[in-house]
Amino acid sequence: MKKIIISAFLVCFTSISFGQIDFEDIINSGTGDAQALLKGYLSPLAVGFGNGINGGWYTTAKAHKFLGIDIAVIANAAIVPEGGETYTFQNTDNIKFDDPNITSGELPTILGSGDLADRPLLEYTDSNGDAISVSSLPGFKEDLIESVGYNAVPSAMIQAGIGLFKNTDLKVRFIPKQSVDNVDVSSYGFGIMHDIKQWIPVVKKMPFDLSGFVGWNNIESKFFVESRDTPSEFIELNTKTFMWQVLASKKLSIFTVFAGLGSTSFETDLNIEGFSNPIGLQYEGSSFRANAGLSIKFLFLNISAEYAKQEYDVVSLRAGITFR
Amino acid sequence: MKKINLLKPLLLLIAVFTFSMCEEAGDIQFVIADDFDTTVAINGLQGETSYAFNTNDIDVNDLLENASEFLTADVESVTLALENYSGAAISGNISVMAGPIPLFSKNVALSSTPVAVEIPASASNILSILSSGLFTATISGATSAPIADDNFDIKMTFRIKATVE
Repeated sequence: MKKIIISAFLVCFTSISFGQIDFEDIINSGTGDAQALLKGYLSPLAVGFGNGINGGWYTTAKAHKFLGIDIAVIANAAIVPEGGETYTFQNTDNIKFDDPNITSGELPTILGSGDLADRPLLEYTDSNGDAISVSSLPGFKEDLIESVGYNAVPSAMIQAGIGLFKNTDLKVRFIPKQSVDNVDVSSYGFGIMHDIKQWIPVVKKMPFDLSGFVGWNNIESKFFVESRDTPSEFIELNTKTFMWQVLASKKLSIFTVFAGLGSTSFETDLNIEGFSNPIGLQYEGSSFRANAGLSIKFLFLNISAEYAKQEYDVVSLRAGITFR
Repeated sequence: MKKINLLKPLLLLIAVFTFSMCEEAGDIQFVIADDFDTTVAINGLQGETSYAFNTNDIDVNDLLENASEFLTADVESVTLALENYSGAAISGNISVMAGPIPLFSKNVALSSTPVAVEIPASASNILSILSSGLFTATISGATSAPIADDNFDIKMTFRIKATVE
């Protein structure tokens, strides 16, 4: 059994190479056709990573004491909305709807439907004028739901925080380059959380915590299409994110409820290498972000869950240790 | 620092392989439609008013290039054209069969200009006669006037639409 993500990209590379027609020939004749087809198809991956990575930066608005520390593992799932399951495709020079009456229509994204009924025929024409009609690329929504129970883009982080002066925390995210199977991944990022309540008269005496937060993150990943033995064929997914929020929290015994309001944004580059003409796809987005969560602290152990409303809603689970 | 080392595998487990641990629910299916040409050489029929010829094997395995089996296979249309015919046209009733399956029987004026005959859905299913991705067709007819040439070709183009996985 093939694995979903590799299967999806293999589908992109090979599934439309039937008979005398060659998809690579179409791509090599100019990237416009490939861009039109693949940018929309792959968009939920890029947008999902961009939204998901910003989850789990904090579990409280209360800053550490001086040199207090925390270390945590964060798992995020960016839930693909209904609008992320399809994209609008318009006829290009070499790729058209098979139905001559249709010039524009909805096709499934990589996280959309895989059913044949939802995948209209597209006609591909190569440089020789040969044409063939093939179902549009399949989505893998059903596979994800069957495997993990939801249609979401996963991401994860490792993060450490340290208390500095004036109730300010520095948060650092760092993963040195890791190579496992056909995947390389690395990441780094920084965040600053500062207690703003201390500067506001009257409010500073109220029984809750209030802080401002700014975070920046970068994740780089590379998927080798076949294997590391053919290093020239790969997909790169590089995402930078930025987030700012005002957050509040209240500690109740071992529980802390927290919530935040602010904004999140991302830029993602998705590069596909292996054809004569490499394909580079750029994505960016920004949205309002409102989140709420609950954390439980028992001795040094801190476990939390969070839900964030944003372009793609994000569920984050975090487990770690905290001291001071 | 040991804790960080212990966390790395857990992190990677979540970050990288949530997708890749998801198995496909089933094989990926595609619908493909393509044209397959064959040419029938007509010899020694000058002055005759009927004919019947078999085509060579028509190979539709190209449709399977990235798949393993046919789930459906239908002839959407058959396009006919005369090649190297010294007269203007051959008119009359023409019947085309795919193996033992009659695709159509109707009056057609054959000429050098291709004429397409749409195959009704009730008669288009050829899955049962595909043997290793091959099938043969038969073209027969009765003409309204004697055939004017002793050596010409009929080009037949089968539009095949298949579901493969």
